[in-house]
Amino acid sequence: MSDGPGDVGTGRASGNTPGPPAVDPASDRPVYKQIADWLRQRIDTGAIPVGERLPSESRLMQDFRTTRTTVRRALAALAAEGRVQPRRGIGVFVRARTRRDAVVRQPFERLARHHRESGKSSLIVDAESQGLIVRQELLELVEVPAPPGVAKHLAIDAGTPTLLRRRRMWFGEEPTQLDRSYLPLHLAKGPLRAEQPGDGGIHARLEEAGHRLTRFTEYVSLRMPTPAETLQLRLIDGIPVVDLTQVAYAGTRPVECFIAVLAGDKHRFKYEFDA
Amino acid sequence: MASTAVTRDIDPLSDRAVYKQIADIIRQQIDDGDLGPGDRLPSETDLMQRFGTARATVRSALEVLAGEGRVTSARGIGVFVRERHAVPVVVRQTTERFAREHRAAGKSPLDVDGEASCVRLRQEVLALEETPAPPEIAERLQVPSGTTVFARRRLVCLDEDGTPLHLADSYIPLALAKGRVREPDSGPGGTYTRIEETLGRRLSHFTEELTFRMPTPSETRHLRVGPGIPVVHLVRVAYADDQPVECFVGVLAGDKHLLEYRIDTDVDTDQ
Repeated sequence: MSDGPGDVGTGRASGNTPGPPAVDPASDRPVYKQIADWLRQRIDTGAIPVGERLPSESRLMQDFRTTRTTVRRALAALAAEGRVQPRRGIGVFVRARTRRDAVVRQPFERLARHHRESGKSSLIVDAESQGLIVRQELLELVEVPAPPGVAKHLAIDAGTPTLLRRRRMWFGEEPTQLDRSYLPLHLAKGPLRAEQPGDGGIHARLEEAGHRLTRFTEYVSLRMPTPAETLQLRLIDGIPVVDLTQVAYAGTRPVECFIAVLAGDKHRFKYEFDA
Repeated sequence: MASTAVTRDIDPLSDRAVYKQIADIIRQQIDDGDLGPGDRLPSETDLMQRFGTARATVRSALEVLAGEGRVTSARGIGVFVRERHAVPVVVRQTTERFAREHRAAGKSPLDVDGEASCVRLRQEVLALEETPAPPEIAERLQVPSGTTVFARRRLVCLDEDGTPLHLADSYIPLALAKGRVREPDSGPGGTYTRIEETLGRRLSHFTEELTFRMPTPSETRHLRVGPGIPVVHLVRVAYADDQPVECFVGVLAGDKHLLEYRIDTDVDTDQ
């Protein structure tokens, strides 16, 4: 939806397009920004569709009668906006703002009891609906003192021991999220301590242990990734990450605090609520 | 937690580009707290001397950090460390803000946001106009693309200092765009209350879809977000039973919002 007109199918530019306008050297706007403006407009109108290659650096240097440095700054500006993706040695390509194969995360659907009862974990519900294969890479399973933020969500004192399960999630061949699940230690027994919590995931195991989950609260915010996240999630320039905190309640009692960092271009969140 | 940073130097033999190494060192100083939120970074000239590099290299390093949202530059003054996990300005308690009792009490969703966040919010009306529905809107409203709809375009700001928070475009089918919906102030309870009055029945539910991206230049101008600040693109559809009656597109400054959703799972249980 937000992929921009490039996705709307306004049709490809037919044949030769009018050449770029001359940059205005008298303008207050720096030349590299004027070049970026022109390219952005071509992307917005669909003249250069998603997946297509931008004109080469040399071509742009010629057309705009400018230096390679200036052209590179223009391309870097577009990359930082997440509009294009450079592929080393090949060229610079237009990218979709949110990928067409983005996972639609539908918590209202995925957390529904009937899905959990059918033995599917919530994540698998999301992915399966899109024909994706999910892989969970367990990074760590350790007891840790609850960090202050987590303790607050779990309504326990900071430093109270919790069981931390740290994972990296893969959809197909791509890492999509880094997550941490904190369970108060007194709840982390039996299968809840297992490396693989099994069908239905931690939520199903919590319910089997008698903690009927009645409510979830989710907090969503957005920022640019740290270099470590960029590596672990294999992000390119100009892709933000979503901070998601989800607290599961059994009645009024919080029983799990789940914190995830999700690749911004690979997810679409969908919520539904009553008016 | 982190070991105290030694004054690290760049390694000229490393495969990692020098500007990235400089960015790494400064980032580490921020992470270690040697440079706190609001602190000014050393000047370009100081950094050039310290690392023995060209100005262009230092600038590239600073651009990397700005792109990560770690620093912000004030032209002519210097480069400052940004508040990273700052308390969000606005907490949107999604299910709460659309609660019927608030609308019945004459409160708009923005009023609810303001109360929840202990701030006052105000709207600047950018346009009230009839316009052809863009494809993403037409699809949601289930009308042919290009159908004329009424658009309310606003910029929501903090009342006290005018800090822009989000762009809010509301698209309403013409048949429902009556009375105060066409005026700058849509009246007590907001646009949804007016739509219910015109419709003669209640809204039933909303869907909200979030995607995440960097802002366009025009969004950057309106929202006054520096480099390294992404935006949440929020598309909400209001339904009366199965009929979509309004489509809302919000572009929210990523550093100023926390979105909260409450999901009750016991509603449809048969036990």
